[in-house]
Amino acid sequence: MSTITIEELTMDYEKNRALVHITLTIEPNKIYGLLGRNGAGKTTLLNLLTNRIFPTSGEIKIDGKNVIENEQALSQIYYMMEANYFPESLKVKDVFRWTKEFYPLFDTAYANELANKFNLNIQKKIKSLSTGYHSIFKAILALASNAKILIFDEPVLGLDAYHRDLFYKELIVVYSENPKTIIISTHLIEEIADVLEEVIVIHEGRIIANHSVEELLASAYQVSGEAEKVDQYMIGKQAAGQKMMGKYKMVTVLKKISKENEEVASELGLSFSKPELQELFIHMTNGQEV
Amino acid sequence: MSNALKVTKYLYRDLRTSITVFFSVMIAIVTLPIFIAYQFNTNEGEVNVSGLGATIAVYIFIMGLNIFKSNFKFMQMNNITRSSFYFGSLIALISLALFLAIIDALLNKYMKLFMSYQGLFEQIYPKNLFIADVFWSFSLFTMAVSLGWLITMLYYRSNKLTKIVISIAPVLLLALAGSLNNWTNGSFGENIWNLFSILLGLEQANSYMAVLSFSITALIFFALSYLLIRKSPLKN
Repeated sequence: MSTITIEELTMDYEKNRALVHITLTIEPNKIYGLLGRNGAGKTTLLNLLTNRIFPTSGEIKIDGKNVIENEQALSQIYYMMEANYFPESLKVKDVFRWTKEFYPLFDTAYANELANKFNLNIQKKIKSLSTGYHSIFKAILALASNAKILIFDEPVLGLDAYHRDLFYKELIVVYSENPKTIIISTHLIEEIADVLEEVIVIHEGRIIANHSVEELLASAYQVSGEAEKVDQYMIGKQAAGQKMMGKYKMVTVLKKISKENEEVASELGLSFSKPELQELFIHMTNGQEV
Repeated sequence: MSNALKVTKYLYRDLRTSITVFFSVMIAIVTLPIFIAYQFNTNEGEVNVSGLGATIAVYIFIMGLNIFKSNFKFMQMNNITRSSFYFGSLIALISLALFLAIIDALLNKYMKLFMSYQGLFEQIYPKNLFIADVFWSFSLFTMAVSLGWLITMLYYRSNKLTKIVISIAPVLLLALAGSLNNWTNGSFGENIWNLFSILLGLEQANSYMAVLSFSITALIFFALSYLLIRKSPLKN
């Protein structure tokens, strides 16, 4: 089933502590968003999950088996890294061929089909690909790998809007046809929000939230209306963020909506709405835990 | 097929061009004097080529230097474990050393048909034995490639300071050896030479002594390489 369990994971780089006692379970067949600001520890965590680097302490297991130098556990994962470590002299089609060698379930026909959709010339050498096409090339490898766990680190880096949209659509197709665990680390939270089922927020090496998107969004609300009335409503409450548009004001509150609040808002003529994931993320990584 | 053998297969593919180019150049170097000799009716005996074995040893050493970094990264992209990468590379490197040793020994044997030729083995051990030549060249090439591989891994694992130390260490050692030699009125150099003479079986013209020395050295280099790669992180 490919359940990933992380226990007390700590990673030190010389004097810097990148990850601090992380304990986490990643359930199978769900789409996770790994969110965090620059340098939060996202890539370090992903590199540890795939045995690219070694932890200072703690354990990572897939279905109870430690990932460290474990061929069986690692063969279940395809990790699309942000960095490019493919031999530059190889052609795209050669990498497809070798990926098939190492991932026997790799679907070459689907990879070629995706290359067509993304206008990626498979005769091109890796070194001649632009930043966007590097991302496309690596994303195709991951999507066609048929691995049980797909990990994407900044998958849409350098992609234009059309290709980003195409990537999200293909991701959903791959997931719906053959459910698998997908972990996506990205800064484009607004774009990915609709794709995600679960969200893990990492901040300064610590997990500060690990909820379903629904739970997370339900843990806060936005109240909007005439600025004066919103201010009146907010007396005794803490605002996580606010937006002003003329006399109109919208405030994000990090609490569930209570009946009492609903009545007060109704009396003041204010309306409630769900906050956006990105807004919550900005607030959470600005110092407050949800 | 195990992942280690898949690594071997990939490395063969990766090295194919380099080996083809190398042997094309070698064949050109070897055949050109013969061609000139026959074309211009030069006395056959004047055509003299030697020491191709040393060229192959240098080539395979450089191959050892070049085979690690990009291939390790590519295998990491495919979630191949370090041990599979290590053993796959080991099979590729040792089998290539054997292949090159056989080619070298064959060249040593057949070049004599066309010109005055002495291979490296024959120059050191004045005998012309095909099997002994293959064993000797194989162990020499294996040692050369293991040294190249070890050096490149040392560089990969090292920080800037350690890289500098590794780079200047041979010069420092030579300078130290020179000083020691002067300080001991030449007896240090003499002892070192005697030691090498024993280890390479030079006095008794015993090439198998050299085979043993080269093999043990290669084994040590390969073991050290394993220690370096065992916990090697993926990095730029």
